[in-house]
Amino acid sequence: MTEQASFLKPDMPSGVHVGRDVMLPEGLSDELLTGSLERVFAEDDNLEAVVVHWPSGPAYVVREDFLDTLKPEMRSVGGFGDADQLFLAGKEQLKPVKFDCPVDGQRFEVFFLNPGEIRICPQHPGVQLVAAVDE
Amino acid sequence: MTIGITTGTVGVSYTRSTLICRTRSMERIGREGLPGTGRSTSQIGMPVASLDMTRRYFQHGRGDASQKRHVRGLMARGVADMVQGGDGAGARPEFILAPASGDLTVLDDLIAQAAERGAAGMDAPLVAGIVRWGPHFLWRLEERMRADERIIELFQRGWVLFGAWLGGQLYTDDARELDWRARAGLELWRTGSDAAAAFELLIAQCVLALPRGHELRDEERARSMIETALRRAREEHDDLQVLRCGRSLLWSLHLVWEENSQLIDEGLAILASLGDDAGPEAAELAAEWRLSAAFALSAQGQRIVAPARDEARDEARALFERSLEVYEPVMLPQQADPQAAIRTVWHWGHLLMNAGYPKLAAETFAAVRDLDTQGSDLWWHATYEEGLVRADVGDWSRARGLLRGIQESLLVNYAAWVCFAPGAAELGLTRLSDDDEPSAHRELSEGMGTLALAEAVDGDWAESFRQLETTKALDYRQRTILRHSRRAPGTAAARTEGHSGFMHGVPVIETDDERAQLTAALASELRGPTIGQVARSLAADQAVLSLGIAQGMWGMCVVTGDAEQPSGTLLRTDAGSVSWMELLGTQQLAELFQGSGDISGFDDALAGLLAQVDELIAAPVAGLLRDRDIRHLTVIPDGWLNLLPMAALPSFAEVAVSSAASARLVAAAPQAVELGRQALIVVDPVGDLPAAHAERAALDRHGLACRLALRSLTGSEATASAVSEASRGAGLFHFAGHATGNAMFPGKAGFVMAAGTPAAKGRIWEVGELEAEPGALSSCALAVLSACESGRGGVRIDSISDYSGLPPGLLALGVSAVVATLWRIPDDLGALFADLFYEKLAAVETADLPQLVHDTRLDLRTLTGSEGAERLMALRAGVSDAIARVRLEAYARRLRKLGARQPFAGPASWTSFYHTGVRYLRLPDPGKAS
Repeated sequence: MTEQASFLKPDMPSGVHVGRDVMLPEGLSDELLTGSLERVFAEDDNLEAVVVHWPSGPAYVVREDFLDTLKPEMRSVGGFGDADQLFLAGKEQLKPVKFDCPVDGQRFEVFFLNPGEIRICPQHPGVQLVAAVDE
Repeated sequence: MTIGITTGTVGVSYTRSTLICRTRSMERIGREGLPGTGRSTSQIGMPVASLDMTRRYFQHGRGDASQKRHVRGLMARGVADMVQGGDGAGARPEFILAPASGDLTVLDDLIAQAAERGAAGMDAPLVAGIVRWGPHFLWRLEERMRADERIIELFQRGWVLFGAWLGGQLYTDDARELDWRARAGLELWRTGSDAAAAFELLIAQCVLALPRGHELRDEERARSMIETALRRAREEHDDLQVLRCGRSLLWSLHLVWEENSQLIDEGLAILASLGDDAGPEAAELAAEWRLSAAFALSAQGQRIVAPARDEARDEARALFERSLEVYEPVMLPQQADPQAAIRTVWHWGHLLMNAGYPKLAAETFAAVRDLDTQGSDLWWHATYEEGLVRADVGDWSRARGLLRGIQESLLVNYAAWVCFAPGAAELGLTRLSDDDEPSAHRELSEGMGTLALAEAVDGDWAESFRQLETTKALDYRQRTILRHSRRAPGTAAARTEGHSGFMHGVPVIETDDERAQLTAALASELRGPTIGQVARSLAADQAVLSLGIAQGMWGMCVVTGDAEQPSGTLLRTDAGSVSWMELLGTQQLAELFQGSGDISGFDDALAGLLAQVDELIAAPVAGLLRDRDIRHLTVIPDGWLNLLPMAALPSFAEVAVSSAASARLVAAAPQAVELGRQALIVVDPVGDLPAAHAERAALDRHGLACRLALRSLTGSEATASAVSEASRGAGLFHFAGHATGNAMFPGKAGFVMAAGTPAAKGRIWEVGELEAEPGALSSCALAVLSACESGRGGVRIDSISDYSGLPPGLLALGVSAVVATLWRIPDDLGALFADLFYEKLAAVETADLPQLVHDTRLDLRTLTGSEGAERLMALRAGVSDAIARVRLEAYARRLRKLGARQPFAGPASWTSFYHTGVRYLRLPDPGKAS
């Protein structure tokens, strides 16, 4: 369960710079949570930490803590059913949509946004985020 | 114990003559009407008397040899006419090309001819119509019958002939006939008519007689058809039909045991109720049913024994004893046909052998040899089986004498199967399915393997080595033979004879001249090399170690380049086939070979196994290798030993060890090949192995981009067709991705390539498909398969020593050397192996590939966590894919935490990689690649 992912910390870590704000829905599978954060950290080698804005509140992820959870994959097809993901349709290419807060311009990276879905700024209650103009 | 024997025998069922049709069904035609019409015979004015001939035929057909011969002769001529297109009708039945909806005048002409000739001459035109139009001809007869009463007789005779065709044996060596017959049967079956129901069992048997891989060979459907026929027979209380259906299901051995067991109980109850006066057909059917049931019992016993569970042995013993009890009554009656009597004794020998009475079995087979004519099918089989069983009980001298006498025919039969296997040419196969192997394959392997050890017992190692090598790499040689053009089936007069014909209807060249030609032509491909031939091909620092296992014994022969004393030999009786199987068959090792999880947990079990194998194989020859300054040893494993990392045996620590399928391949290979300038790197076709990107970076990082023109196919670009196309002209092929090596079905081994369709991410590019790609990898000097199980060979319970999977597939395509893995590897290990390997390769002008792989393995073994992390970060610098970069950073971070510890020191990590093929690789000069 995502709530139990070891790299999610409830408090702002000291001594690291939190460089990005990520918005994720609750109840994500471990694979999707990992895939989303992997994409965020992959885009910036110097990104030390990110804050994940859940509907229920923020959590913090430090790069090193997150990387420690990534284990090498096996290059095998495995036994029956083990490798179904290799042969299923589609490909996981997780990519965030960037939104800004109209109040202070803070940038949020939103994953898994349904068409027409509105996101509210976690810092400014009731303020709808707007799609970033540089997107 | 020859575990595979029952399976081989089972193949008899669909090729033996079974002129079966349902008497009761024909009676029902009389009672309820003609097939497809729903009208009674009286309604169409059909005299019931005209059914008598049909009844007589079906009631007495099985026992009436002359009648059977007559019908077979008719069908053979009809089919031959069609195959040869003698009357210009072409070589395919009309009902396949255009069901009888078109011009019916040809059909009507044949019907007119038949009517004109009357009872004495109607068969020939009827046969011609049936084989060309199948049931459509019969339906046309039915239509015509309404207007012309004379046609009734033709109609009845037509159904008889059609049933004889469906239920008969092969009438020609042309495998297309199987196809036509099945199509004709299915054409009828699809109507769902009474006639279809009447012939359901025969149609199912036609489907099952098709070669594996045939589009119509749907085993599920066939079984369902037989089961439907069985249900109907039960409803109708047609006991004989119940026995026929039960026999077919028991032969197939596809049912779960509970179902087989029920069939056997039911059949025994029917036999008990039939009594002794049930007639000749019932008696013959009863004998055949008993044979099926006995072998089903025996096969189930073998299945239970195979896993070697002690607690199951009693259960297996009970099944074996019951198999003897079930078959014993067949032994008792005096049989009129002497050949049938001898065959009965022969089956008895098999059951005794399976049941664990080898001495009795040997005497039984000896009796068959005495009874039958020398050179006959059964004589040959009895000689072969007795030879194996004599070896089983340690009578190696008699085993040698018996097997020596048939060794030439072992080769001829195998060669004939490979060249003329039904369906091979028509289906354009470049390799034959494992499931289609007839006993000729097993017999050559097992017979020659046993003879090799028998010769060794006698001290004749020269013969022993050659015979042992003849059994090696049959699968590989089969592929290469099939790639050669060969005579089309049917161009030589062929007949079903010899053991292959008896067992499986495989045609064997008929005349002595043709037989001699075939033997001579294939002898050089099938015969193993002599010790001298191998020795002459070796450099002074090179040796070949050939291993052979048979019965309770195993032997080794080391051949070196020393002209004076080329070989050293060892024969041991402390481990035979079963012991080796048990040694390798522990549950934890099975998990290493077959599982999908982390491999480091298997280090202890693997180290223990390697220590035991070292004591048996490596330690005894280490001194010889040391004394002769051997630096490169090629091990030619036998059977299950191909799963083992021979290079990791402690006593071989100072020697670079390669694997090869046979000494013949070693002797035939050049010492060195040139590496062409084109290199193809396939990177992560499915997109979930980020570290695979680092392997392309490894080639760049070590300067190989200056010597080779590197081309990558990455992610979704790497479809099978794109890789095939790009591989033409590539000197180096590097694959970094997923692969699978299927030990039980090595033909299923393959690379996972991008699917090239939105419907799926990836698909397995099986080795068979790869081999069928013309020109693919034909210029490739080195293939590095950085993927799981990419070098996994097959495991065969019948002990056939075959070298199968991806490496032999690539070698058959023309690749000179392959570096591959025995089991799964993690993503980071693949990247580090590639980095270390290409670093060494780039540093030399001529690479000693076995030494390079040996050194790379050792480097991996001693690599510290810090060093590994440094290498991964250096590779990361050359990778542009963002996800790959973050993954490499993560993997490096994990390794860095280990500091001076060696994360890959366990044998499960570093021993998986091995080399096969050419030894030296000359690299292109630097600075010339674009």
